[in-house]
Amino acid sequence: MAKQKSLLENQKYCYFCVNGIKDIDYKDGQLLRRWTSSYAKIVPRRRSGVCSKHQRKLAQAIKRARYMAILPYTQR
Amino acid sequence: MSEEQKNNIKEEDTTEKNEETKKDQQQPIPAQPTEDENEEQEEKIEHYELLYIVPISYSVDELKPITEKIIKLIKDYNGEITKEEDLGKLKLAYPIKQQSHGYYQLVEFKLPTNVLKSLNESLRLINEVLRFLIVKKKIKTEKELIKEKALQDKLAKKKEEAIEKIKAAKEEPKEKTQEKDGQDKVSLEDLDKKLDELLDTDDIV
Repeated sequence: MAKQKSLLENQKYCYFCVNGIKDIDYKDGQLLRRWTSSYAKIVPRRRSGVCSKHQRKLAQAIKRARYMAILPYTQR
Repeated sequence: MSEEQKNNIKEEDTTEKNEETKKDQQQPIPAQPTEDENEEQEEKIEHYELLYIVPISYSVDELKPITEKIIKLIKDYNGEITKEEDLGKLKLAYPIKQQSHGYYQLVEFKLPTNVLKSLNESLRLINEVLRFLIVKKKIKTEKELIKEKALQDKLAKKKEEAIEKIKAAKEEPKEKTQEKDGQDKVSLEDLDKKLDELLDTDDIV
């Protein structure tokens, strides 16, 4: 059973590939929040499972959102 | 004779087209306000998206002249506005200049690429704007839209299939365990083993 559980937990997939999102909108803070940690850091690919192509776009979008005060740079 | 006539007509057509293209080329050049003429000959027009924040210390009535001012500024730089949107009053993720809330305003426009720098500069000098960001925005052509639609349809189908599979997988083991419970009281360890086997086989299939 232990094996089964770990397999289920490790089912990682790229959200943007699965949903067919080509361009990530930096204005949608609620969506981008899914890929930031509790300290508002960008979550690494090995944890979130986002593919490399979308991770690059995602990082760009998060950084833009931070500049426009849609997302925080740090969490107190 | 007919062939010659056709040729003549063709030539006329081409000359007319040439003239038209010349006109097209000539028109934008005198309309340019900037100084560098050499660079302007191969000017490109890009589609941009501007998002800016106006602090909440301005009331809604004061907001209107500010937006009009910015739109006028873009138009002065030969920009063509394609979309205006008010994203509303939002809380800033962190205070900027002691302001915790702001009005988010979105403008989409077409602009010659060589003017962008000066537009950035003049926006920076507007005091009413807390912060702004200009980003290139791709306009989707019809082909791309069709492709995207096809992709979305495919994904939707895949999702449905996956959901059905999950449902089927969930229902099957439940029924079997219930049957077993009904037949005999099997010890928990045996049940676990059998369950493991079932799950394993499912994975292979």
